Amino acid sequence: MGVITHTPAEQTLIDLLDGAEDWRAAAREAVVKFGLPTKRAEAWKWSDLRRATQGIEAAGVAGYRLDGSAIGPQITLGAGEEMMLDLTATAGVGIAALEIHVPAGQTARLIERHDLAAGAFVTARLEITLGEAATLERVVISEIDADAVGALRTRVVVAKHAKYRQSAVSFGSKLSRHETHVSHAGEGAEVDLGAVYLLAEGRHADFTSTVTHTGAGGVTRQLVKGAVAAHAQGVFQGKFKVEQAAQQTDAKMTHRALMLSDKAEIDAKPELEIYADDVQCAHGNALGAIDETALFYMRQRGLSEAKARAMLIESFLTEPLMLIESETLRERVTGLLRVRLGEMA
Amino acid sequence: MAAVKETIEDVKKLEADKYKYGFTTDVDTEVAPKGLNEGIVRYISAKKDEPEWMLEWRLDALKRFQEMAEPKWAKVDYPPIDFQDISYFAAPKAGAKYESIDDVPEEILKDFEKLGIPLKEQEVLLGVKGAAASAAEARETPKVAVDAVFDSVSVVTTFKEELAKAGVIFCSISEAMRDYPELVKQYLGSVVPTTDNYYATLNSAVFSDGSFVYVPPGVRCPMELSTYFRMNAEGTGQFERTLIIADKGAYVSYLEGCTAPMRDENQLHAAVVELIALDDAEIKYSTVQNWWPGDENGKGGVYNFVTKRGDCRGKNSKISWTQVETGSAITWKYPSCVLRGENSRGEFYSIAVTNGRQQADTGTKMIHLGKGSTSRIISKGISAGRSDQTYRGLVSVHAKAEGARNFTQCDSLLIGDQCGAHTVPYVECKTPKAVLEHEATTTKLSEDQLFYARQRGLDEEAATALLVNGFVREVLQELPMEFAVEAQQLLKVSLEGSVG
Amino acid sequence: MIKINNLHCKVEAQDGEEKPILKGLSLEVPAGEVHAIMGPNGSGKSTLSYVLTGRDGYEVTQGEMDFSGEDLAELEPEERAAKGLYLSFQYPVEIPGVPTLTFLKEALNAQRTARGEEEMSAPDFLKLAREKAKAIGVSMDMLKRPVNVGFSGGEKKRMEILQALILEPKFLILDETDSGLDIDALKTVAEGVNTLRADDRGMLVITHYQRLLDYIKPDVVHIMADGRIIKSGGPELAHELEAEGYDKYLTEVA
Repeated sequence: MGVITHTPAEQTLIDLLDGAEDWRAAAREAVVKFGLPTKRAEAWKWSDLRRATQGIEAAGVAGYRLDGSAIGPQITLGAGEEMMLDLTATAGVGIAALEIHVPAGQTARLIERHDLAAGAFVTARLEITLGEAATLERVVISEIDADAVGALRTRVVVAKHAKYRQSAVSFGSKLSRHETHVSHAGEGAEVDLGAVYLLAEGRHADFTSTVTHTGAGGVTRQLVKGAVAAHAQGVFQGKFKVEQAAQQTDAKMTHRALMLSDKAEIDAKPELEIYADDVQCAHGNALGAIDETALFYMRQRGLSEAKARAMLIESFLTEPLMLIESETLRERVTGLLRVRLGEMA
Repeated sequence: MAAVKETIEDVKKLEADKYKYGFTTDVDTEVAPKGLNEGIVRYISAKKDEPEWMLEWRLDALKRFQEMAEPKWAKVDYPPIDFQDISYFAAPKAGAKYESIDDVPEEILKDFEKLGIPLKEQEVLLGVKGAAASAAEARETPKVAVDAVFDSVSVVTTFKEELAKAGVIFCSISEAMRDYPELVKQYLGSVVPTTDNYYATLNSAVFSDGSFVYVPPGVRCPMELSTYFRMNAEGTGQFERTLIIADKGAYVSYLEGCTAPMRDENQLHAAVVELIALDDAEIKYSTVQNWWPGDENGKGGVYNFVTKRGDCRGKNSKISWTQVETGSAITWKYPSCVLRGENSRGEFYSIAVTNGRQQADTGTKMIHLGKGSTSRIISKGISAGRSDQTYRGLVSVHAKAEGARNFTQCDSLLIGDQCGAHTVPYVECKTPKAVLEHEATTTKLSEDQLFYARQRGLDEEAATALLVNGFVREVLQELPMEFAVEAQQLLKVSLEGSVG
Repeated sequence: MIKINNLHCKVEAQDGEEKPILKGLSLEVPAGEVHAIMGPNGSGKSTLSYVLTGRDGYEVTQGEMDFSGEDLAELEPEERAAKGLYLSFQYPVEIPGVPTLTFLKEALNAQRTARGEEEMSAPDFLKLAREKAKAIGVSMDMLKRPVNVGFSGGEKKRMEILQALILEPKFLILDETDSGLDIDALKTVAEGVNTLRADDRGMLVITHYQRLLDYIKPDVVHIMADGRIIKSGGPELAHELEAEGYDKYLTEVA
């Protein structure tokens, strides 16, 4: 393998990471050696990051803000706190990172919003650790500019008896990668991953996740739903790994998506990797168009085709959002979906 | 095929213990010197008296192979293969092909008899019931035409004359090259190109023999066709190539069985199978693969790297793959369908059992190109012992394949906590006018059901076998009758010692 | 009210093949009357209900369908609905995630808007729904559940009639409304239908059995076979049919 020629975005990223430590050093090394991942990399076969970042050259400014204020690299949440976390970025290449800790027995809620400007390429990393019997609800609303690129990665370590509940909604962009990697200790711990993507013409969203069960008796539920318009691409890559010690794991993964018109594309890879025998693991994947029979039934009752379609898509998409505990918040997110659907009709 | 007459007790009595086909046959064998180079390719081509274009084809493949790297994406782990330490050609010394069945060395016939293959036409006619069966019964017993491949060479093909009456060509591929060069030239490599993948390329360079079938337009092949592969000679690889063409409106059902003797070293098997179905044609391809899996500690066994692909080239054509995979140390195999024709249909029914130290990475690819093309995938994987098994599949629907449908069901069963079962399905869809559904589960045998069966008097092994049979029934139903019986027995034997 | 003249229709099957189903059907149902269509399976009864309401894949190749002086063939399904054409489905469709009340309110107001009427307010609608639900023995709890999801066969049919009570269509097509109903459920559904009988409203009752017609008394009975009406008569025709079976009429066709 010869030495690769770096794209401007890659060069800027390398420069930004110059002299960095920990994961940043490893990331820099990977970019130096291989460049940004292309579709030739198995994990990125439907999301070509190198291609999407073409045309992005200079450095930009990216970062996390908590309740509107700048924050250090680590925060601790707890005592029933509800915090607003914002990931913002200007045009250009940016890096953002944050560690969040919820101590044992504590409960917290995190509402996370993504606001990336046109021409931004952000690589972000969130490290979340939940202590024993801690509970965290995380709601992610990703409304980034159509011309932004996001490679957003979250690692979550869930201790015994802890509960982690994540609901994410993405409207996509030039390339939006939402990665969630959960280490699941089992022993009464529960993980719920819900996600929705609604992609207008030309947009891309990628939900990639792994849940690794390391201890016995863990429960995981994952439900991802999407709807994709022309020239848009929805990607779901989910993986449950159940290690040998993780007996009595109960894990279920479902991905369902609607193709709204010609030239829409959906790619899915729901994966199970199981090394324990006493488990109940399942995954399902279903792709298709709107149910024509239901559409006719609704039109027979007098609804216009557009209205019937919007109602069907909305009811289809909102299922994963039922996970959101607060009704107000749930309504707000559903409202966002409805607005986008209206724009797409 | 009706290959297995013995009960499990008989199997146990065999010296070979769990692997009843582990005997070697003592015949004089002509084995090519070990090593992979231009010389050996020329040697094979010359041995088979091939036309010049075939030699060119092989040499081209060899050149490409030498530039390729071994694929690493499959979830299998084995020491690097020394391709120079393998002999690429072995044949019984008496000569490549026998004029009549009487010329086949007695040892080989006996060998096939032990395998339960009724080679002689007479025996085939009478099925397994023997000479005592009445003529009426004989007529009702389904006929099966057999092409038997021993190491690198097709030793005998039965029922040729009767098939010829129907216009069906069934012979070894070497004969086909000589007798039907136009057909071979037109179709060979048209589904699996020479350089399709690493092992297919190797096969293209060194393939020795295999079966050739051509069913002319409108003909329903009057009997099941069958090939039986057996690796015998030490230190050899087997690289057979099968080509089946069902012309417009034709139908053929083809059965394939494989065994190999127990040997300490690993034997390499890299076959290529190409199926072509034209308008309204149907090909049903069934495999019972029982290559030597190696011993409990993972010593020996066959490396099975196989490329099987069917091309539904015509409208309303149908290709159906059914496989029962119990053997081989390493299995790397994805029988696939390219659904090019309008309203064409692809099916994949699979049972894979891994035990001991076996590793299998197997599944299918359904490529939907034609309008209204449909496919169905039913995969049942059973992992036991310290084995590792992966279902890997692709369903790809292109933008033009409006009205395409796929249903996939992948179920894995784990027996014991030292094995692994994995599911890696890829789904790509580029038209809204398609419906794709995929379901998968991973479970263990139900304790309740096991207890229930045992309470009724079955021992644990029998109860397990019973439940496993229930688990795979959907696929067993797809097998031709005679094969299904053999497959069921095979499952039982393969899982012996996996419980308790 | 509804006039069908020499109607021919072909249907696109799953495999894309087109089959002629209606082969010159003529029928007239004036306002205030209830007509029944009886016929064996495969005679084209359900096709008639779908072609009248405009389902995709049901193509009129010849003939006319006139509804209160308007050509139906040119109208979208929702336009036909707004004009007052209502189909009680043989197999009511499940719509997960859409509460029945929401669905009906949206449908009613869409129809009203299309007719140039004012939308009904949420409280007025709720009052209407509550009143009609009570009349047909449906709980408000059921109305909060998604459309037809998890309902029994009988509940679904009852819900179809409730929707008609709320939407107040001008013409009802009841497609095998009796299928899957026990006698009590059948009575309740028929009562609901009978309250809808009015001088300015027509009905077409499609059924395989005479049973339903004991409770919804038709003015005229038509026998359908092979895509055509082959005999029409009074209510006694249904009894005749019940006693003698379809064979007699089918051989007449052949």
